[in-house]
Amino acid sequence: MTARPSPQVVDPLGAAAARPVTLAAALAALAVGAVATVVGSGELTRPVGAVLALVGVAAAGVVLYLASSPLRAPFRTGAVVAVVVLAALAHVASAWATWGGNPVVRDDWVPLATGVLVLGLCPYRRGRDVLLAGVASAGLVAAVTLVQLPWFTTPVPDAVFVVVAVTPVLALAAAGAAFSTAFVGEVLAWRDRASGAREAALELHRTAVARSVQQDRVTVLNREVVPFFAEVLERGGLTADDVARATVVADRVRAALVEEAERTWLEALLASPARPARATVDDPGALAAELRHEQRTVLRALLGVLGEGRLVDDVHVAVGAEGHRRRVVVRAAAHAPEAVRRQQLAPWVAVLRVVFDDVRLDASPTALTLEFSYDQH
Amino acid sequence: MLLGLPAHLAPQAMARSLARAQHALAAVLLASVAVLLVAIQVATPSLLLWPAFVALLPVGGLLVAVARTHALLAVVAYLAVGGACLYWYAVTLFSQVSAVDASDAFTLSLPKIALVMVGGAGPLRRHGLVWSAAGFLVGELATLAATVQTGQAARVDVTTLLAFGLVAVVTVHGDLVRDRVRRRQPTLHRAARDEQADRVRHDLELQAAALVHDTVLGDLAAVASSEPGPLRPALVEAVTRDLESLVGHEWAEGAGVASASATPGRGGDVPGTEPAVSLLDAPVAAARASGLDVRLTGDAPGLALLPPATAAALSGAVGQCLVNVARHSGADQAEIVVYGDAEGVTVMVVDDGVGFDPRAPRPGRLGLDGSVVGRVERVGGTAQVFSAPGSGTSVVLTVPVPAEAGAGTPSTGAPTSGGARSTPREPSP
Repeated sequence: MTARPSPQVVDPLGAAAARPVTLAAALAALAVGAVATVVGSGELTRPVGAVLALVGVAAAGVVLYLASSPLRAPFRTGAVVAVVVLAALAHVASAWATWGGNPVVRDDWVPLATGVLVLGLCPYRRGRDVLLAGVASAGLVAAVTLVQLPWFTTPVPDAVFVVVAVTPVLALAAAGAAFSTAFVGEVLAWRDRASGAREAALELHRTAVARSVQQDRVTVLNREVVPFFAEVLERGGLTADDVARATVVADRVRAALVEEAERTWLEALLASPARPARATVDDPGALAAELRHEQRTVLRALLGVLGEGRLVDDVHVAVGAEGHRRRVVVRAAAHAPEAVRRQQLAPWVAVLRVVFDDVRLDASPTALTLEFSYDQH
Repeated sequence: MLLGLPAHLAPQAMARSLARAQHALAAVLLASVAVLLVAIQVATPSLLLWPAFVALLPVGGLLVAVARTHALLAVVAYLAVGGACLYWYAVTLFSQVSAVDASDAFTLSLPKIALVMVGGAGPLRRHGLVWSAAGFLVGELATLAATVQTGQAARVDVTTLLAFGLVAVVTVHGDLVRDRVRRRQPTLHRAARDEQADRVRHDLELQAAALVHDTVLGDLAAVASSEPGPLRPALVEAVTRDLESLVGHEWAEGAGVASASATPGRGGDVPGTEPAVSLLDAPVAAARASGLDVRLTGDAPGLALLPPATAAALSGAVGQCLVNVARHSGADQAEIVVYGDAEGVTVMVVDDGVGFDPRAPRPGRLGLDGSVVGRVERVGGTAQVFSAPGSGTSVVLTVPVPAEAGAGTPSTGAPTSGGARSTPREPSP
C-alpha cells in the first residue's frame, strides 16, 4: 500500500471536531480502570501496583488528548508510541498488583482501557498505524498473560486466558483501523467523483470569465489605444505628433501590463473591496505566486475567516524568503478575547499544518500572529 | 486533500465508516469466540462443542453479507438468525463448559457484542443506534432464554452494556459535532472554489496580456519607429487585423493567442534549407517580412502530434522570440533549431546579438516572461533563456507531446500534416 493519507490530513476540520470523543475515550479508559480496581480490590496483593496502573492509563490518556489538539496537528508518531508504551506499563503494573491472586484474566481491565485508547487514535492516524498500535499492545498483553499462567485458577486451557486477554485490544484496534481506512476512502472517493464534475463546471466558467476578461481588456484599450489607431487609420498618414504619441501610449500600456503581471493573487484578494476588515500585503518578491494550490486555498480560507472582522482587524500578511524556505506571517489587531480567538482559530491551525511547516499561533491580548513556512522545491 | 467532505455528504460517509468499524469489531469478536471454542475442545476432547461452533457460522456469514451489501434484509437477517444462533450457542456452552455458568460469561458477551455491532442499513443507516439497541435486546433475550432453560444464573452483562454505550457515545457525538463542522467546512470549500476560479481568471488575463503585448504594443512600436508620412499598407493591415482580433472573440475561446501579427502562408517563398515545419511557418514568415534573416533547421516527429493549443502556444512563443531578436538583439539573423521525439518537441531560437542579463529588469522582459515563458508553461512546457551581455541569446522551448497522440500514430514519417493543426487560430478542444 502506498502512502495513504491519514484522516487528519484529508479532513483536518473533521479531526478537530472529533476531539471531544478523544477526551471521552481518555476518561472512559480511566473510569474503566477506577471501577474495576474498586470492584476487584479483594484480589489486590500490591495496591501500589493498582495505583501505578491507573496513573499509567491516565498518563496515556493525557498524551492522547494533548497530541490530538488541532494546535499540535498532525498527531505525531511519537505520541502514538507514548500511548502504547504507557498503556503497556500500566498493564505490567496491574499484573504486578494482582500477582498470585488473580483467578480469572477477564477481570483485568487494562487491555480494555488500552483498546479504548487505541480506538481514540482513529480520527487522526492511518488505519495501518491504529492496527499496528493495537497489535503491539496485544503482543505485550499476551506476553504478560503467559507469564501469569501458573497462577490462574479457572479450569480452562491456557490459550483461553491469552485469547480473552488480547481480544478487547485487538477488537477495538480493528474497529479504529476500519473506521480510519473507511473514512479516508470515503473522502478520496468523493474527491475523485467531484473532480470530474468540477472540471466540467470550470470549463463553463472559463468561457464566461474569458468574455469578462476580454471585456475588461477592450474597455481599457478603448480609452486610448483604439481611438489613436482609429484616428491614424482614418487619416491614412502619420504626423510627427502621432509618432511621439505612439511612444507615450505604448509606455502606458506596457506599464499597465507590467503592473498587472506583477500583482499577485494575494494582493488582488486583499485589495478586494468586499472584505470588511482592512488588510495589507508585504510581498516585495511576489513570492505569493509560488504557493501551491492547496496552500493558496488554505491561506485564502484563513484570510476569509480573519476578514470577517469579528475576531481581528487590520490584517497584515508578509511573505519573505530565507534561502529555499518561504515564511508567511499574518498579523492582526485583535479585538476578541484571547481564549475565543484561540478556540476559533485552533481548527485552522490544524488545516494550515497540513500544507505548511512550523505553524505557530501567538494570540497575545492585543495582537494575533500566525507564522508558517514551507520549502520551495 | 484537506478539504474533508461537503456538509451534505458527511453524515452518510460518517455513518458508513462507523458501520465499517462496528463490522470489523464484530468480526474480531466472532473469530475470537471461534478460537476459544477450538482451544477448549482441543483441551477437553470429551466435550460436545461442535454445535456451538456451527451456530457461529451463519452469524459470521450474515456479518459478511451486512458489511458487503448494507441491505436492510441482511441486517434484519443478521439480528434474527443471530439471535437464534446465539441461543443455540449459549445452550451448548451452558451444558458443556463448567466455567460458563452465567449470562454475562465472557464467551457469551463476545457474540452478544457482535450483534450490537450490526451497524445501520439502507435508508435507516443513519439510525445505527436504533439497530445497535435492537442487537443488544436480541442478544440479551437469547441468552436469557438459554439461561432460564438450563437453570443458570442470569446477570446484567456489563461488558455488552459498555459496548452499546460506546456505539451510543460515538454516534450521538457525530450528530452533535456535525453542526460545528458544517459551519467551518464551507469556508474551506468556498476558498477552494474561489482559488480555482481565480486561477482561471489569472490564466486568461495573462493570455490577454500576451495578446495585447504581441499586437497593440507591436503596432505602437511600429508607428513610433515610422517616419511621418503616409501609412505603409503592411502597417494598416496589421493594425486592422490586430484591433479586430482584440475586439473579436476568437482568442477568448482558446488558442487564438498565437501571434496575430504573424502572416501565414509565406514560409515557402524563401528558398531555404528547412523542411516544411508548418507550425513555425507563420512566425518565421512574419519575422522575415520584418527584415530578419531566419534559418530553420532540424525536425521533430512529435511536432505534428501537438494538440492545437500547444501548437499555437509554441508558434506564438517562437514568434515573440523572433520579435525580440528583431527589436532588441541588434542582430539581423536568427536560427531556429527543432528537435525532439514522440514525447516532446524542443525549439531553440538562437541569435548572436548583444545579449542581456536574464536576471536584470529590462524593457523586453514583459514580452519574454509573458509571451514566451508564460505561454509555453501554460501548456505544460518549459522555457529556458540563456544569455549574457555581448554573447547572444538562446531561448530553448520544450513542449510535451501527449502520450495518447504518440501511441496511435507512427512516430516516423512526415512531421507535418500541415493544415489545421498548426493554424494558430485553431480553438483548443
